[in-house]
Parts: sequence; structure tokens; C-alpha cells
Amino acid sequence: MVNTQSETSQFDSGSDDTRLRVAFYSHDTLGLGHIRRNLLLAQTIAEAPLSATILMLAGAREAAVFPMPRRVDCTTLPSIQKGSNGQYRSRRLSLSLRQIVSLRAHILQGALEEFRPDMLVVDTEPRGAFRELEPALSWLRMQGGTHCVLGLRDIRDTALAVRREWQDASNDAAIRDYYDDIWVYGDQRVFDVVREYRFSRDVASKLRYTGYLDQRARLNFVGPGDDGPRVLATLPAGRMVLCTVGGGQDGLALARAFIAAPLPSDAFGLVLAGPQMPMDMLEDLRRRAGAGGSVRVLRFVPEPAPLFARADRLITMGGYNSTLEAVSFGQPALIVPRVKPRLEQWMRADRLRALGLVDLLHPDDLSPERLGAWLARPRERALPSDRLDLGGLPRIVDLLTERRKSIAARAAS
Amino acid sequence: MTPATSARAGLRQRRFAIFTHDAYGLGHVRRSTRILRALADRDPRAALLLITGSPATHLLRELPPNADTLKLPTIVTSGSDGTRPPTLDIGVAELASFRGELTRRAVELFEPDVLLVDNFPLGTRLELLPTLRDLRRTSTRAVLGLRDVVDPPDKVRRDWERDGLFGVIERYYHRVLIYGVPEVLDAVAAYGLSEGIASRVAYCGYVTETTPSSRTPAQLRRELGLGDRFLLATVGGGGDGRPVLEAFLGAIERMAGWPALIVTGEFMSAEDRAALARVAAGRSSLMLKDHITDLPALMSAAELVVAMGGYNTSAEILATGVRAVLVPRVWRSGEHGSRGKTGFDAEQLVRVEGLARLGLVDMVDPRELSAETLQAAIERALRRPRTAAGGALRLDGAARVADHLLDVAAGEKGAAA
Repeated sequence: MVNTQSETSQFDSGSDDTRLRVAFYSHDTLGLGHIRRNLLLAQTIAEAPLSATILMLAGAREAAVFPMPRRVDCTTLPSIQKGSNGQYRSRRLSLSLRQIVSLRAHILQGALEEFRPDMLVVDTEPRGAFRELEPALSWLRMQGGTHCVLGLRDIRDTALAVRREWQDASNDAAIRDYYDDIWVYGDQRVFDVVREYRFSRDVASKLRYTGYLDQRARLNFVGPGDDGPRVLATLPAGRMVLCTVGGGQDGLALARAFIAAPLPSDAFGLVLAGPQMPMDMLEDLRRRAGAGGSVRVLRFVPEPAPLFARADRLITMGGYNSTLEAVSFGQPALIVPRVKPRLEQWMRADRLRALGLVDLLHPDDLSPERLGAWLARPRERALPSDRLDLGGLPRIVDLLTERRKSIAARAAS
Repeated sequence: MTPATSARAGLRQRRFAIFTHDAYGLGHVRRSTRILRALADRDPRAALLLITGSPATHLLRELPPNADTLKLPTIVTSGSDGTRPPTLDIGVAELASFRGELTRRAVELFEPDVLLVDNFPLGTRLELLPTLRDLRRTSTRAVLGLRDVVDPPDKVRRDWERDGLFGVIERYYHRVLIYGVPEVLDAVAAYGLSEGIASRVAYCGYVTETTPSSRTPAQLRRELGLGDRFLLATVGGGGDGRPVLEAFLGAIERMAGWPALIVTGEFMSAEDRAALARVAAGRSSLMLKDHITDLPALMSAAELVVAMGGYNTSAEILATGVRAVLVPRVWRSGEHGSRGKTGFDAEQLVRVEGLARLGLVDMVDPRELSAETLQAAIERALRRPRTAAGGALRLDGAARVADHLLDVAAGEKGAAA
């Protein structure tokens, strides 16, 4: 019998085996896009009548700063990050890369052995970062009972780069050995991953497009006391231009240009610097924005959806989530994508530009004047409904509902 | 700069892990981060791992650069305002074993020289036994860190007896470090520790911030604009602070409107905050804030502080030497509303009685709390001179704990006092 009603009482009554257990993994070695995407999925699943409880396995402590709904919790691992020389390394602990990877792998395996999820959704890397998930995956496979899903964002890089990476990591073998399904959080009409990346027949047979994840759903997960509404309450009247730079680690140039850009006289600006922007850079931005100016700089708002909803225009970097925020909320948006080391952001934004959904500025062309000119140009709201499949979230709930039924059927037989 | 990657054997890089209980408030985590900072000061090359289920969001900013965290699923089941932090819904027993297994594995591979366990010898729900058992086969040594007052002594004796914790300490812990002083509570006598354990006990003094603020008290008073003499009222996180603040509002009204700053705390419910704001509305020289960043500095600037009796607030009061009237919490967080016998929790009472005995603070028994009793206590306290910081009590607890941990890592046995 599935019980979605009682919560507190059930919590104290010992283990509850009727819950659908779902685990999400994200390596989080660069930025917060992976964990934010997983969290949106987790929130949606937790709210759906699936009676699910969800464990987020995240690669960075920052994951714990996002508000989590009931029945969702996270385990965060000691972090790995890309150093200034481009090499990945332990972010804080003085351990070698090999040591921290085995520490993380050991913890991940323990977590999945203990939690024994009905479904595991792995973000982007089929074997986890540096193959850290492999011991856990092979254990889960040996045990059976866990449906393993690889979740991919639509575009990862140029075809050439992806094919090489894919081969180097022997992802085909990983998918053959460990995965039941592949979900692509995208729209085949925008980017046909199988064709563009020439995925093998095996891979293609497990793959389906869920549709893009409509970011307006995030509004449902905002409480009245959260930072978003609190910030909203302090904003002046007038047209609002929102500038976001993702996690913030490489957002300085865009934020600086925005602060220096001429705003229309009836508008004010808001910069979200991101929790991973170094403090000295944040200070620099705040100095430039000055006191009493028309641009405010905020370090971090864990769930900025209310600010996106309020904004009249958007200037943003081109991460998956930011771009989808722009497209979902539909206000005129200018994307200034990252073009190094991957072309992913540029490619996605360019496809969406071709559909008339966003405007695009190459980072080499970035200047306050160019931003000002874009802001001065009249633009219409671009609602994507017929041009883009944004139905990813309800479709994933459907997939889990099916899953739940087949588990119930198996248990009954 | 890349972190040291050389073999540990060659350069003897130290590793320390702290397992910290994740209560709803931030006291435990804050003590642990202070200890980690003290360790980092002494050994910037050491690798420091904090294992906790605390969802505290500012944790990374407070940790030294050579510390990272393993966050466990959170296990706190009730918050002071009735809400719960996010929690996996798999039942407490399974959650505890889950946390235990993650910790065991992390310690197994991280191989710290020392594992410091905060306040609960077997963790929040006895989940540490597998970890401690494993340690006997490795070179990691376990050290237990206890708050000045773990709980009222009779409760500690009962709980530890029930859960076999005296035996656990005897068997697994190399040292027992107390983040307090025997003048407030003589833990050895009060908890009835055996000679075997007593010989490993060391009192380290209060773990608190002793670095002076960048702003002088005079500067702060100017910024606040409350005049030269003002009262400060703070109730920690604020989840159950409304009765104290209501009594405080009543007391200052009777005292011809002394200027005052009231800090409601980040966990106070919107309803409680609104109720207080209604009472405060329209009064002059009264400031109400959700939270402030530099509480100790404000304490230094204030004439007197009214507070509850949490560890951090009490230690900060000692460190600043400000006059204080304390109204300790005697009901468990979240259960003060019912005031039932079951929720009685006298940890703060024991602490505040101890400090009052030493003449360092004044106390109002919460069962006698009213505007009148609080007013009388405030007026009495205002007639006394400020004490020197800490009186005679030690406030460099974090440094002393760090020294002990380095000492244990170096293979020293026993607790040199």
C-alpha cells in the first residue's frame, strides 16, 4: 500500500519499503549546472504522486545550499575541480587526484550499496568523473534491481570532440554494461544527438528525448521566505534587466561589461554573480556598480526563478540551465556563451537563435556598448511553445510512473 | 599552487577528520570549524575533513582552505519552529546505518591520524560503532570532544549507561577533550567517569572567537545610532526565542525606554517575528533585526546583553566581558510551546547556573520569566562593573583542542593537562 499522506509518523516508524527510491549522481567538478539540473528533476519527482524519496549524490558542497523539498536529501563529496593550469585536482584537501578519486569512489559505492535505489540517474558521465562511479555501477549491476539511466544534456561539444571523448572514455562499453536507458534533456528537432554524434546502434536503441526541462517549474519550489521573493520585495519599480553568469567562476567579464553598459533610462539592472565567483572579483563588481547606481550586484540567490519571472530582459552566459531559463521564461534574452574549452554553449545558443528564441553575442565581441545597443533595440517576447519541446519534466514523471508500476508488478508476482 | 601530492610517508602530511553532530542550530558545526581553523593555523599542509549532516549553507566560507566536507544525509527530526530540514524518508534506523557506513568508508580511505568525534561517543544515532571498530586495526586514533555541558549530569549518566557509552569511551577513545572548564561543570565527577577515562580527560576551555573586531565599540555605537548606552537582546537562532524577547520588550518599556537592539535570529518563524515587530512598532530607540554578522563586536559595544544560554552565545559573552542576563532554555528545541515534562532539557540551565555561581552572568529562571523579573535582573546587573574578558576562564579552547589533536597525531598517549 502506498502512502503519500503521513509524513512525520512514517518517518519514525522505521524503514519504509513502499517508497520509490531514486538516486541522482552529478560529478560537479565544474560549475553548478549538473546539480541544479538534477535538483529540478528531483523536486519534480518528489512533488509528483510517486511516493518517492530521493538521494542526491553531488560532487561539491555547494549542492547543499540549494533548498531541498521534503523526502530529498543530498550527500556531498570532497571536491575535485579544474585548476588554473587546466588540470583537475583535489579542490581543498591536499590529496593527489588519484587519492581523492578513490576516496569519492569508495563513498559513492557505500552510499549506493546502502540506499539500493530503484532507479539511478547519472548526469553526463557514464562512468562518473574519473570513473569514480564505476565500482558502484558494477555492484548495482551484479545485484540487479536498480534501473540505471544516463542523463545527457543535448549538446556537449562539436561532433569531432565528442566522438573522440566518447571513444577515449569507452562510453559505448559503459552504456552496454551499466545502463538501461539514456535520457536526452533536449529536442531532436533542435539537435539530433544520434545523427550528429554518430552514436552506435546499441546506444541509439536505449536513447530517448525527454524534451527540454521547462525552468518555470522552479517557481513551484520557491517558498515565500526564500531569498528570491525577499530580493524581489526590495527591487524598485521599472523595467528590470537581469544579468546572470551561472556559478560565477568565469563570469567576471560579462558582469563587468554589463555594469558599464548604458541602461535605458527607465530600467535598472541586477547581477547574480554566482556562489563560485571568487570574493575579490565580487568586491570588484560591487565597487564598479557603486552605491546608489542603477545596477545591484548579488552574490548568490539559491533559487533565482522569481527574478527570472520578474525580469524584462535577460543577459546571460550560455550554460544549459541559464539558456533554458531564458527560453522558458520567454523574455528577450541575449546569450553571451563560453566558447572555450568547449563549443557547447555557442552551439546550443546558435540553434536557438536560428529558431528566433534568443539573441547571441560572441564573447570576443563583448563590450558595454554592444550590450547597451542590444538593450536599446526593441525586442518582442519569444514564447517557445510551438518551436520547442519543453515537456521534459512531465515526461520524466511518466517514465518513473511506468517504472513504479513494473516494480509493483514484480513485487506482486 | 597545487596541493602537496607527495607520499605521506615522506613528508608526514597530517590528516584529521571531525565527525560533527548535525543539530538544527549551528553550535556544533561552529565549534568544529573553529577547531579546524586552529588546526590549519598550526599545520597549513594538513588535510582536514569535516563529516557532518549539517545543512549549514555558509560552511565552506568558514572552513580553512585545506578543509573539505563530506555531507551526510541529515538526521535531525524536529526543528525549533516545527519545520524539518530535508531528510531522506527511509526511516531513522536505516538512515543511521547509512550515515555510519558512509563515515566508515570515508575514514577507511582517508586514513586520518586522528578522528575527533563531537559530543556523542557513537554519533547522533549510535551510527559510529562500525567506524570505531575498524579504527582498532588502523593507525587512526579516536578523540572525543565534549561540550562544557553535554546534558544535565543525571541524564548523561542514564543515557551513557543505557547505550553502553562508558565502555565505548574506555575502549575506543584515546582522549576526551572538554570544551569548557571544571568550574562550570566538573565532568569527571558529574558524569561519574571511571579512573581509566578520567586519566584521558583534558579541559580545553571555551571554543570561541577571541579575535577583536575591525570596528571599535565607539564606531559601532555611532553606526547604530542608539546613543552611548544601549541594551542588546539576542536569542541565538531564534526558533524558540519569542518568550524571552517579549519579556525583554516589556522590561525596557518599564525602564523608561532604554535604547535597545533586538536580534530575532534566522530560524525565528515569520509569525513570531511579526508579533514582536507589532509590539516594537512605534517605539523610539528600538531596533529589530533578523540577524547580524558580528555579534561579539556588538556585545562589546552594548551596556548589557540579554540572551538565552546556548554554548556559543555564552562563550561570546565571556569573551567580550559584557554584563549579561541569561534566560536559559529548559525545554527541548521545538517543545517549549507545550512546556510538558517530557521535553525538559536543562543543558543551558546547568551552564548558566555555573556561570552565575562564578559571578560572570546573572540568571533569570525561565519558569519565572516575566517583564518584571527580567527588568529587576537587568537593573541589578547594570549596577555592577563589567568583568574582564572571561574572568578567570579559558577562552582559547580551539587552540588547545588543536594542540591536543596534534599531540595525539604525533603518537603521544594520555592527556597531559
